[in-house]
Amino acid sequence: MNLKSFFSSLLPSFERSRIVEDIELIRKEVVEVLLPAFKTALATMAGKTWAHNEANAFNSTFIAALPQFRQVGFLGGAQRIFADLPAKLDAIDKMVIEIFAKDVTKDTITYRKAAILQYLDTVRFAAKYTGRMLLRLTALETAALNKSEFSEPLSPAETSWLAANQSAYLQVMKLLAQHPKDLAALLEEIPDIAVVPDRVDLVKQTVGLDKIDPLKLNFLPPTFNPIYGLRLMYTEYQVKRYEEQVEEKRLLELRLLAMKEAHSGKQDARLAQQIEYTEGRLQRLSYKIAEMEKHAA
Amino acid sequence: MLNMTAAKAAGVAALQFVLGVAKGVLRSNSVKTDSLVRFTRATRVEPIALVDQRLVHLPYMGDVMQTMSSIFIGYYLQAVSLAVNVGRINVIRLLDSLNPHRDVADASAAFLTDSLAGKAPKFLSTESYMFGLPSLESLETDLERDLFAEAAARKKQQDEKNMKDTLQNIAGSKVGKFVQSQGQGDVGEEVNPNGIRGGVSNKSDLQKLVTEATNLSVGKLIEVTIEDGDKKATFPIMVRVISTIVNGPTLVHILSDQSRWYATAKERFHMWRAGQLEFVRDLVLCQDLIDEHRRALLNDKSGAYKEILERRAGNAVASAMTGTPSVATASNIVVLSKQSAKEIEQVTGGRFTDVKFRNRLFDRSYVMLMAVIDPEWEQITIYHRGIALPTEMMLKELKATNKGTGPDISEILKAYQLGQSPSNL
Repeated sequence: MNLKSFFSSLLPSFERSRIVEDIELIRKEVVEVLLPAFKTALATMAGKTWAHNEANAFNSTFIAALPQFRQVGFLGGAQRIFADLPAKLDAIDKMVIEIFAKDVTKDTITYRKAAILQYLDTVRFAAKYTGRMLLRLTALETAALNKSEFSEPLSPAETSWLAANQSAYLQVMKLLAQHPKDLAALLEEIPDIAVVPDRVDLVKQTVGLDKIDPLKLNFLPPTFNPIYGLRLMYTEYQVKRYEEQVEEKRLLELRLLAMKEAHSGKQDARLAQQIEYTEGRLQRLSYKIAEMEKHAA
Repeated sequence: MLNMTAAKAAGVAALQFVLGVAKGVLRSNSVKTDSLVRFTRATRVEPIALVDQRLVHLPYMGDVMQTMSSIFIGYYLQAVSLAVNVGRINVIRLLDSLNPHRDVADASAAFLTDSLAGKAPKFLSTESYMFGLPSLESLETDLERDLFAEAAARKKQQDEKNMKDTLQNIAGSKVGKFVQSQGQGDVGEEVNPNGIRGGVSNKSDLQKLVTEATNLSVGKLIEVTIEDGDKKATFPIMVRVISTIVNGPTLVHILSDQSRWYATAKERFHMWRAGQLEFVRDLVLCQDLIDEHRRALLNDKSGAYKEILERRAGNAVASAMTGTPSVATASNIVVLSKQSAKEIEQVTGGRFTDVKFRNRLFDRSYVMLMAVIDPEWEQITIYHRGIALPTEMMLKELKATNKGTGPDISEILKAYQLGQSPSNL
């Protein structure tokens, strides 16, 4: 995301605890929702290829963008990336406590601090994209195995969001595939100069783009960060996000179970109904969160 | 004094004559009914639904309309239960006294009716000193009246009784009409309103009927049982939502113009000050409102808006003739897309989340239910007339609910009885 737009989206001041809580929420999503889902998915898909064309196509695109995961495909690759994330988040957490004051004001944001916040944004984006994509892939696969009609698990807004952000996602995954040690070193390299929106171009020319933005965060698509943009709705937003994670976890479990049953040639009507209800609940929460983000933007 | 009494008697006679004529007209109309469709009109409930053209292609519109019709039936059944009395208990009055949100306008209307019928609580001094003053010695005993005054008082009592009977006849004709309209009895036959009980038949059967996902063009059949003592009859009532597809901009035009016409006097004053209105032409003669009205009618290609206005006018006449208020005039349904809702907000400067703004839209457009659908997020928000909080749900949930037995009418009824919007259909 463009540094200038990122800077303008920040609140004039917010507490450091917000960043720490944000890291915690991302960690929870990765550890409690995504990693267990990947574990089950990998076990279910072990030695098998995707049966649905669309799922297969996505897998190929992923491999083309991140060739190091040619052997393991999307499921294995994404699983490895997210398995490394908690260590990276720990490093960032330490850094946040070191370099951010208790009260963060917009004037005190330096290039390094901005990079940390932007990095967290990209992780949040990647986690959300992966979760939604996994839901879609399992739904596609189940439909293909059961030879039944595909029932879209996501709302049209989310489906088009997935399509529109696919290339950005692949870029983000490349960035996240870095080794944790490399990340800490790269962040250390960024100069601690205060960000002044009018002088960003000047600093780029004098210091060099590679030094200011070694993670290439500048090229990533703009993602709005409500954590640092919301005032009174902040707590409500956090609660909604947490609830969304819980629902997503439940839905992923159900979807994976349905896929597993489809592999063994079984179909469970009760499970299908449960999935439908959970999808409704997840969509409702996603809608609420989207509304809040729209309100805060 | 005699002249006054005579004038009063003449007044009562005139009133009775007018009522007689009105009843005659009604009776002759019913007798001349020339088709089954027209004869059974009272058993057909057909609210108009204006559906945004932008939504027509959506696959779940059938489910949405099904839900709207179920909510409508919820209201209808509740109204039927309330419209009749149980023994000497006036159901509406009893429930109103227990309601945490009472309506001042209704209470005032009830007070006036009671005052005329001589049943009002004695808040106001109703003593007549026409024929003598209270005793100065003791306030508890009146001055002795002469014989003539006593006779005049008797005459007055008789007149009052006549007046009361007339009023009861009016009230009675309401129930009489109600019974007849369900297919039995005589139009002119007046039934004591106190003796009638009405309500909904066997709940499980009813629920089965209502929740059955019937074709929307056929509508849903519900049963209403009317009882008077040991006499009991069940009538099938057909509820069918007449869906009319209106293109988005026209719908926006109809709804937003409506709210503009009825800008408050203060707003209109400021519009005049700002130069938007001319003093004589617009502020005094309201020519701008007439122009807006004409424009709305011209834009209403489907004629649905015209039909709503005609129904309102017809209901007002029917209400005057029968003495029964037309409670279902504002019973129309609007289903619009989020985009149209946004356009309405832009044009009018209000917000759908604002109850006041919504009330204004509801009031002017005679709409009872308004559903806003967001096709992007597959989300539906149903606003109910007079209820502050809307029903919000995802279409996926709605679809899942409709797949089984359909929306649970008893749940909907329960929510309305508590004065809330149903949260889980």
